[in-house]
Amino acid sequence: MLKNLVVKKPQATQDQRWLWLSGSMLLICLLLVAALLFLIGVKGLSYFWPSEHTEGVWKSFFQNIGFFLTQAPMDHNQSGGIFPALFGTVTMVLLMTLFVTPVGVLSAVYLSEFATQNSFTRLLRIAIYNLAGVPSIVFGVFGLIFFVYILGGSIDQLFFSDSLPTPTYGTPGLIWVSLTLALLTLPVVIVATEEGLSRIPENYRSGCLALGATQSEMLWKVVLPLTTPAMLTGVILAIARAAGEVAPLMLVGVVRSAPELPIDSTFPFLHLDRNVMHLGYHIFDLGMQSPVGSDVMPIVFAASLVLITLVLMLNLTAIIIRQGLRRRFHQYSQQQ
Amino acid sequence: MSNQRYAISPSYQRYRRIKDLLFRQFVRLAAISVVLALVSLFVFLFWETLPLFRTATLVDQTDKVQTHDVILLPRLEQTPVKLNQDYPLVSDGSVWLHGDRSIIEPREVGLIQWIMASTNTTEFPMILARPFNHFHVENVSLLALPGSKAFISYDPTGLITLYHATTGRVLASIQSHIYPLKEIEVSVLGDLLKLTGGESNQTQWLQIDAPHAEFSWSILWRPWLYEGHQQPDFIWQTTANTDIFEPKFSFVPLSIGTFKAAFYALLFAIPLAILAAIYTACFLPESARAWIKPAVELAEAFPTVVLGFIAGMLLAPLIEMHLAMVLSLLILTPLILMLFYTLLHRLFMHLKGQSPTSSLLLMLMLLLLTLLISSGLGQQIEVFFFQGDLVEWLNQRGIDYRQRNGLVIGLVMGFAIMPVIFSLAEDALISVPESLRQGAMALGASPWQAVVKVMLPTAAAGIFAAIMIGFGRALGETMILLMASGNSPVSDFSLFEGMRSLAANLAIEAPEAMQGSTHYRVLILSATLLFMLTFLMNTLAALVRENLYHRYRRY
Repeated sequence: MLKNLVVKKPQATQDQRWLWLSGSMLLICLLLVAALLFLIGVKGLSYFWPSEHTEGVWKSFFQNIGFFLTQAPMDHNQSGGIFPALFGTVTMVLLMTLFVTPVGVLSAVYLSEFATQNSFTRLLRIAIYNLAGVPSIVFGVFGLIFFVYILGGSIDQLFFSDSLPTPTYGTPGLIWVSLTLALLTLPVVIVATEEGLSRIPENYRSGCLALGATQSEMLWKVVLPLTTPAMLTGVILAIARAAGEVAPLMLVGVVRSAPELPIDSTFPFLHLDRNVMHLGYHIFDLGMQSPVGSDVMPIVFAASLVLITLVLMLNLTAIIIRQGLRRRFHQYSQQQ
Repeated sequence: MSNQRYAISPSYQRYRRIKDLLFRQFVRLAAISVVLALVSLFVFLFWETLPLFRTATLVDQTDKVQTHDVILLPRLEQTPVKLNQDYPLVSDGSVWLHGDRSIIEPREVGLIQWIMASTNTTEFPMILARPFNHFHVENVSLLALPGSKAFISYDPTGLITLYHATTGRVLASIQSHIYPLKEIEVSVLGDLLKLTGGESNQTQWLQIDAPHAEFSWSILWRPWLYEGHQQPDFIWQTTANTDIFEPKFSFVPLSIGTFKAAFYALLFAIPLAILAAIYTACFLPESARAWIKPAVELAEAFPTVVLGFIAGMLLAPLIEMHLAMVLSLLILTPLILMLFYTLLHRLFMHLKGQSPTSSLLLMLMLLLLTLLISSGLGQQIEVFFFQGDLVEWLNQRGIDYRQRNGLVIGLVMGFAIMPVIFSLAEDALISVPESLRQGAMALGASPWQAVVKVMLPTAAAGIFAAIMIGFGRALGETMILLMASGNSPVSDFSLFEGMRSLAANLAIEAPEAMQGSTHYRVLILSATLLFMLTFLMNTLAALVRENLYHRYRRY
């Protein structure tokens, strides 16, 4: 009786309306995500689907995918595979990980373990977090003028002066791409590591110190091993961000088609000065700069599908690791 | 046992202490160098723009110039008018600037620039462009410099002044020791002046050091009159095929493009993200929240190059074909939804006890129905009111419709920033202490009242921060704009007109700009501005968030 009375109030009616509207907005968000995934999935997969209905449809379907992933592009990138782009993406991202992981982790350790927590470190932390929101193209411009023109130019003058005026490092190349990406993803690693460090229960630290460990031993042997999943999350998120980033790379060394892969059998095997291809730039270039009238939509969707699969898988891994981590330390804090 | 003795031996303890010290110093060094690197990064960016603001100089180089190396420009007999013979205004002593599109004329009131308003010289006469501050026009001679719009004036007393015609500025002036000064010649490269005159035919060499003469702060932000135009305008045009072209640097169209894109994106993203965040944080049980939040945040993982491709190649032609339908989907859907809920609320009342998942399913069905209705309605409206083609109807009324326009950008970039706003707003709402809401409801507020009157005001700062961060993201977004905005630098807020943003402009022009040129430095200036804008916005948001966190930590 009382329940009915409450419900019949006009306020409750109005309530319900707004409630449902906000629910619908949430549904629209979810629908948009699902529709986009569906669109790219269907369009991308249909590129690989064999046109004639023969017996070994599935076999040739997987053959097509394998061909697409392992062959070089042909016909001005408009047919063939994406192997150099995929290879270039993976190489630059791995190189970036080499740069960004130690630097990011050490900075995070300093910020949350060593530095005295005053308003200066607070401002510093805010500034570092905000770097994640700085437009990536700004990092691209910085990479171009500082890394390519100034750093690369001086390396050329010091070590490759006999081949000047043809620049060796003073021109966009793999190393500059990786360094720019490392700058871009540094805040991601720092934030994730700091979050992981702050989740370690304080009594672990006090326990170690009480048993006579020095601060560095406490960090090396107890805290950092426990933070490994968090660091991993940060690195994976950094990789995902770097793999999807295109705008800054256009300025510092990613090209439409590179004659050689950055790694090959001639000395010094890893050619840091070479231009590389990148999956995202491949999509941009094919989609925007192909000759008028050529139908590039299917192959661009196929490349997009590969890129999105890569990025989404990385993100999902990060989410899963992070969820596990939260659950684990949730337990610890409950025990206290 | 020996192990234990080893562990407490003084040398081992010393070793441990030193190791600890070294490790600490190493970490400190690493962190400080990171911070220094990041700070120097942007100091450096700023530093690179400084030469733009340096004043130009005329330096006496008589002792240093290798006179036989310098090739002087042959002094042509300046005909008063070269192209436009019957043009009456131009008097003797006037000079054509580089490119033969404008004239500098000495008058009683000072120096005056006349420019051709169009390449068609018979139809459009030359128009008065701007005066220069110069009051000693008796016996003044003018000399145009090759390769730029700069010129110098000199008189027998030896006063030499360097001007830049486009910016209208006096760049530098110098008093020569030669008296009377007869003639000045300029080298082919335009960097050296040879002064001759005096009783014994003396010569003096001056070096012109004006690397960024065509830049001035006001040219960036004010309407400016250029050769070939009839009135002052905001123009960004940095390259052309001809050599005689004057670069036009106005940040106004680029800034307008940036803010317009961000504005339309926010217009789409804010209602969607905030309402969705309210529902997720306040009305979904923890079990549903655990998967719905990451599902929405998945949208953040889409590489923007893919979104840009879909926007430019798929969505833009589609929207052009079905403009009325898209607009009605955007505008009518929420209205029809509200109408539905008002009409059907009695039906839903008895569903109150149901699980949120099943009510979400019901909502989904209603939503799909509404989408169908509003798209059908859109087509009907187009047929009834706009003769079946809204784009054509707009064009007839003088509203320009571009395929890649603000609407496409708003939709796709709105989608791209939606997860950011959603995620942060949801965090802000979920961190509001549960006791506040329970208190409100115990005092008789309905669930929605408790959310709107208590939780929203409490989390308002956090939601504001979320919007700020989304806005910052939209300002700096590059690939979507590069691929789907048409990239035409127009100063226009129209929904159906294209745009060029600062970020997209950098992506287009930075690889081509010659190192050290004015164009290059202006681009760096725009990058610095973009950086400062987003950094300030993010810092504001972060401070707000931090305050919020401190305020509610005690609950």
